[in-house]
Amino acid sequence: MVINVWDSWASTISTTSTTSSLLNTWYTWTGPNLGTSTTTSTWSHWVGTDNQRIYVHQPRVINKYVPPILTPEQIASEKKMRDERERRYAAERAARKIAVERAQELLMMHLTPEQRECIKKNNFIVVEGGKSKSMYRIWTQKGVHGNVEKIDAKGNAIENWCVQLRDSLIPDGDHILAQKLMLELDEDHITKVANKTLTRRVA
Amino acid sequence: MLEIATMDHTGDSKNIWDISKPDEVEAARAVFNSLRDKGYSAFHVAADGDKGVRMNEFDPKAGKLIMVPQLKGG
Repeated sequence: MVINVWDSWASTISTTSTTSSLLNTWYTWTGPNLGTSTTTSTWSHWVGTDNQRIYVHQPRVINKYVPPILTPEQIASEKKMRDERERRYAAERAARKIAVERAQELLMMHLTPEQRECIKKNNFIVVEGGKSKSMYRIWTQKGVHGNVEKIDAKGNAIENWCVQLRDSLIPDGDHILAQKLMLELDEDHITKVANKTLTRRVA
Repeated sequence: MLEIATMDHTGDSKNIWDISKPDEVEAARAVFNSLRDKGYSAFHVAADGDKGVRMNEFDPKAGKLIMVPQLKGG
């Protein structure tokens, strides 16, 4: 029986019960610690009944974010850190802008006049392979991945090559100059390294 | 002007030398060899995009050299 189970449990665990009855066990548990509840009223606090079923009240916890209240010193310190971070980011952006311009300048210095004209007009340059004499088109405004095309006599792309410098932080102008120099002066190496895809794109 | 332009994050870094000064020539040679050991390719380029040559050894009279880092297929 339930009462007997609790009864034996209570008699074993409880150190203050003087009797081994269900009611006294709960009374002992609730009485000293929870104030004035009596046995039955304890349960009525914990367990509600409506003659149909027993339900248990569960406290509802709502976590509402309360921002910490900062002291003026803390506010000033946070503002200082924020300003310093912004200054650092602005410096990095400025350095990056200078690097991109320098790379572009280096590229333009090493193009023929025809290539310079073509790059301004069409955003690509055409170079001749140093060994195979094949013609290649290098796009300059499409990033540095897949921007090299092997072309036929009519200018149609035969293959698309994806090859660039290992260090992606180097500006694009340097990548394009490297592609040009390698195609013209070390075609074997770039042919071996490039990832090639057949294409039917028409210029 | 005699210089080595190395491609890097800043666009390019330049090392210049005066051929009449042996210590500058040696410093440039050391830079050249160090970059070659790291896998850089060296090209002697002429003005106006005329075809240059690939260089495996440092030539102090070469003029302008461009050091190109390693390539990879994408």
